[in-house]
Amino acid sequence: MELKDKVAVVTGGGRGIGRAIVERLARGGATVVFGDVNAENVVALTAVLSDSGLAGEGVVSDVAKKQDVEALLDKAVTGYDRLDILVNCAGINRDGMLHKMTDEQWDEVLAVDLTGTFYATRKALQVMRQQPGGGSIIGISSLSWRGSLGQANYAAAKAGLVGLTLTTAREGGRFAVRANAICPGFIETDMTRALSSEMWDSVVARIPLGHAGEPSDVAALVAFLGSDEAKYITGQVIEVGGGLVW
Amino acid sequence: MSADRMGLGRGVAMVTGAGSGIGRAVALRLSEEKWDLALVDVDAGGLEATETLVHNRAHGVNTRSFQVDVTDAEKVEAVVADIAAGAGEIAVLVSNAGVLSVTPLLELSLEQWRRTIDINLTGSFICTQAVAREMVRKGTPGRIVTVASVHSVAPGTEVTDYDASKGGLLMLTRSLARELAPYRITVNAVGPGFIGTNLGGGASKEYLSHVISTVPLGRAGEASEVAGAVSFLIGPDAGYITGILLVIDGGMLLTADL
Repeated sequence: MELKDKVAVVTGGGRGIGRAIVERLARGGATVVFGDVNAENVVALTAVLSDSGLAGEGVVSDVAKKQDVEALLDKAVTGYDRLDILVNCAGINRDGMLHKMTDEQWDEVLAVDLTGTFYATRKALQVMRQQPGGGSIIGISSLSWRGSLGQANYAAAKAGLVGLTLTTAREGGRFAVRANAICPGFIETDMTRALSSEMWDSVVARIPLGHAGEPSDVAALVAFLGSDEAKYITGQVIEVGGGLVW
Repeated sequence: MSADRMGLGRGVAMVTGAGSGIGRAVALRLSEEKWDLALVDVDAGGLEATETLVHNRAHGVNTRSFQVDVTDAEKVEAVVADIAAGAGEIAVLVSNAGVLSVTPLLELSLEQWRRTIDINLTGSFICTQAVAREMVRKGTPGRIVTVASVHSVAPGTEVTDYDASKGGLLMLTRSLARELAPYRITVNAVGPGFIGTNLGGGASKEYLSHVISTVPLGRAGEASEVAGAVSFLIGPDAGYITGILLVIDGGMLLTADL
């Protein structure tokens, strides 16, 4: 129970990696408030937490909308009097080769993956810099940030998330606010299951450990970074990829 | 779950440079987690002190100490064979033995350069290879952690030999990760920044306070905080992490003032 007494907010917590993070933090003893744009997923996960006797609840929330993000974080702060951990996991992709990429594909991905992260991080920092003990802000980036075919928008957003994270670490340091980014490699989720089996096999062939990762692998690193064990770790980009460098 | 695929029962954890500093902190942390310990250091007195602390903190943990110079390949291989014959599986190696001293580049002797590279880099090659061979032989899904440094990726001040040795140690780590992945062995480096115990060379108060001023978190780190990161990397939660440098520096690398 390394996260006992901690209050966590997770954006994009309704499915995939985000959901695994919500469950892992809650099992670690944290009270978790999570947001997701999909109402069914919010209801389902809230029920799972309640049935398991874990502390937490979900809110239907679109990180691209500033007022939704403010409301999500307010729910944690006014409900539980503090905010110890923020996990920016909400993310979408709208793939397409760059020379044919539409303005909408670009704008939608940047709005959710980067600007949404900005809204949540700004609010969290406002709260954390005023409370003793600071806090831990964790952004879910992607190995795609080094450049990824058909993902100029996603790669740009994920690279932007890294710059935002490192700046947060510099500005937040003197208030004991840590900020780190996680780069999952090839993780089995709805996003990656959508690939053809040839594409899947060709990616796995390049992974030194020889298999895709699972959302729980990412969630475990989030739990570590959110804990007091990691209170001297900040400004880092940490890969969970089975050795994949891209 | 990846963690199950990498599933580790407790076995023996070997720690080099266990006679002081980070090595000692790692040994203490691992003993609390009920690892049996094989402690290696060139300093017998340091080893004895570490053993005493371990026994005070964690009863029932088997601890063996070996006074060995990590650059002596024959002795290292003999120690690994001895441990393997006795307690069974070496499931973890923390390759931490290293030296640091401050010398301006233009005055750095070839002898000192060679000694630093030999202990900090070649010593880690010798230890990791010997343990890896044993892990592969037994089919152990092992964990190797090297203790590198922020100076694996950013130069320090008048520590040219140290910088080069730690840079090399990072690439050794990444290379090992790639080659040992098919055997389900993960290999990662930790990169401590300014840690209370290990800033050697008799630094002045002014220099120390200057260094702290470059750390966003405004303080030095503790050896126990490095040990916490090592504990995570060798645990069942980190089975999908390999080939990384996990820096523990309070944000110092961000301020470009190294």
